[in-house]
Amino acid sequence: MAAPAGYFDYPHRGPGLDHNLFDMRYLKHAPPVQWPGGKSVALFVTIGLDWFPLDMPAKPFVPTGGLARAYPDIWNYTTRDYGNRVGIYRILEVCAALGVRTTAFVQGEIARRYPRLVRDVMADGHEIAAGGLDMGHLHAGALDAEVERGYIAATLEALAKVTGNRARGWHSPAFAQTQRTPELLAEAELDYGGDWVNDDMPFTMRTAAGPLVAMPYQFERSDIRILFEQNQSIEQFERQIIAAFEVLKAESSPASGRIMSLSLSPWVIGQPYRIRGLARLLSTMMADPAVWPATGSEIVAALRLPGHSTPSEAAE
Amino acid sequence: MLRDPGHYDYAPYRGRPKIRWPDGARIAFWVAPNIEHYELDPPNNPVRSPWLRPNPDVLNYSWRDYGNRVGFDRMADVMAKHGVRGSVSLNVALCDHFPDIIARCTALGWELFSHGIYNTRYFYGLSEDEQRTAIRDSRETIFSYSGQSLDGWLSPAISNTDETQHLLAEEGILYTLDFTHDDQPMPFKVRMGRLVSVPYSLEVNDVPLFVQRNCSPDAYVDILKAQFDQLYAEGEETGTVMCIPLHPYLIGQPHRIGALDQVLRYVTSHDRVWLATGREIAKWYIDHHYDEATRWLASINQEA
Repeated sequence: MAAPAGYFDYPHRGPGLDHNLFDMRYLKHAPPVQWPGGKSVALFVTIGLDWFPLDMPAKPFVPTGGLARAYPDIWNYTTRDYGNRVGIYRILEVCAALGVRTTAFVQGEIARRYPRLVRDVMADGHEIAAGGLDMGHLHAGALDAEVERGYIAATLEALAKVTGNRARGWHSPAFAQTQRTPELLAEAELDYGGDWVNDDMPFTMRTAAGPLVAMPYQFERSDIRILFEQNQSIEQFERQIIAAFEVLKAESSPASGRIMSLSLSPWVIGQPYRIRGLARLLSTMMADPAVWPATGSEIVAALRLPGHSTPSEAAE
Repeated sequence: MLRDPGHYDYAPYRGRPKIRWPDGARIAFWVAPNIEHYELDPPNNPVRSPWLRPNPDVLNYSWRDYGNRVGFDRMADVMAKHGVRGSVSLNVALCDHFPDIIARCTALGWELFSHGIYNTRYFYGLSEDEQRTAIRDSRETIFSYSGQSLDGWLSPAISNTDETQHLLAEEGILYTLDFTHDDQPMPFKVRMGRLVSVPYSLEVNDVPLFVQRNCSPDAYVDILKAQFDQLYAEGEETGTVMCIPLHPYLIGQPHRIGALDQVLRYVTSHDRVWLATGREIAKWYIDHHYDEATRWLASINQEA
């Protein structure tokens, strides 16, 4: 027996991380940020408007919720599509009633197929950000750079055609990136991305095409994780979301704000037996005077990072 | 391949020599935070692929990275609040990458022991000399950052080979955590030197509970309290050990940290608990119980 070649080489063993995408930063050393109005917790609700194609490829991997049964997997196709037809409208009603403004990461194929849905979400005051082309176009592994560049461009174009605006935020399908994704997102002049689940606060990624803000878009306490993958009850989901909120609020102050990320998927939380749970947990947080419901672009603007203008500042 | 690991004799729970912990404690309670680094682009190992998705597996890498950036401090704060020290199951390269974390561990009086170099460098397929290289690297790295001796061992990702335990004893390590065959320390059969096993846990470990068995934080609290209650009761007869293994990327999440707070408050509300480290348990056992246990094991297995 002997080790595979290179098994005792540690090329990155030294201070800091084992890559150059960003620097190590402990949350306790994050620069303090102040949210508007003296609020201490930015409530960053994100909605994934995802489309799972019926002819979904099994490679490079089948993402959570993917079509893993024999073709045609009508069971999973329609269960996901339910979210885009019915579930999302329940979420929109809950948010409208409580004054929650969210960030919808919309996939390009949703904009092509269901432009009416995108316009409805936008009309309710939510930010339209980009969620990749669809769940069958993953940014993973050895994807060719030109192909990946094409995915990003086609997504942004499909969204802009419906919204009339260029999206500022990005979330890759299934949180998957190639080693080149951050650079290609910066090159496409996106302000922020939400695929790295390693922090409670934003940090800056450095790329050859300039900086990209990595926004906390939490997976571990998302509805997909707790309700679908872990098969826990809606009551347990509510308890965990409120527990996370209480901890983050206790760690925050008006002088040093925190972000409460809540990641939703309409095909999960939009089911009739779960939607009241969403209403309950959102109303608990919205009743708290520390809370500022904010979109991704609003949070990035409040960070006041050099080189990032905001829509309102640009208009001033 | 072996038909059994060959490292321990059968030892029925009934009728063992009594273990007595310091100050009349019924239970030796210890907490083992696994402080780990998983490389973004590790070399492949023919036995196990480090990541589930193609490299870079951003979701899984960044999930674990959360533990070092955020979860560690949250976990350490709760432990310090309850006066519970950690015995760190450490990927030792982390000393070089994130010395701030190591400095906080040592400032809190925590023990450091080795959990390999990185959690993406397995022992599968390594020769004896190669394993020795990793063990010696661990000893030197831990000593240079903390002045501590390397006394405990948990193989990286529990990827040990048939030879690993022998090598640990030969390299002067006191205790191993790779085996989950008992709730009490046990002498280990090795070809040279002496080694004891100290109970770790894969049953009340946050990885199996949260990731494999999908427990809610409430279920986690119920399980750990029940585990403690039973071992505390049994400890009246003969001393038991309870270990809570932790991973900051799981327990340090804001929706779960309260569960650790509840468990540690519960455990520390009992008076006959020895809040120990792995090293302290191993040394106490070796000094007070090892010889008697070895004689008893010989007599029991002779009967057979």
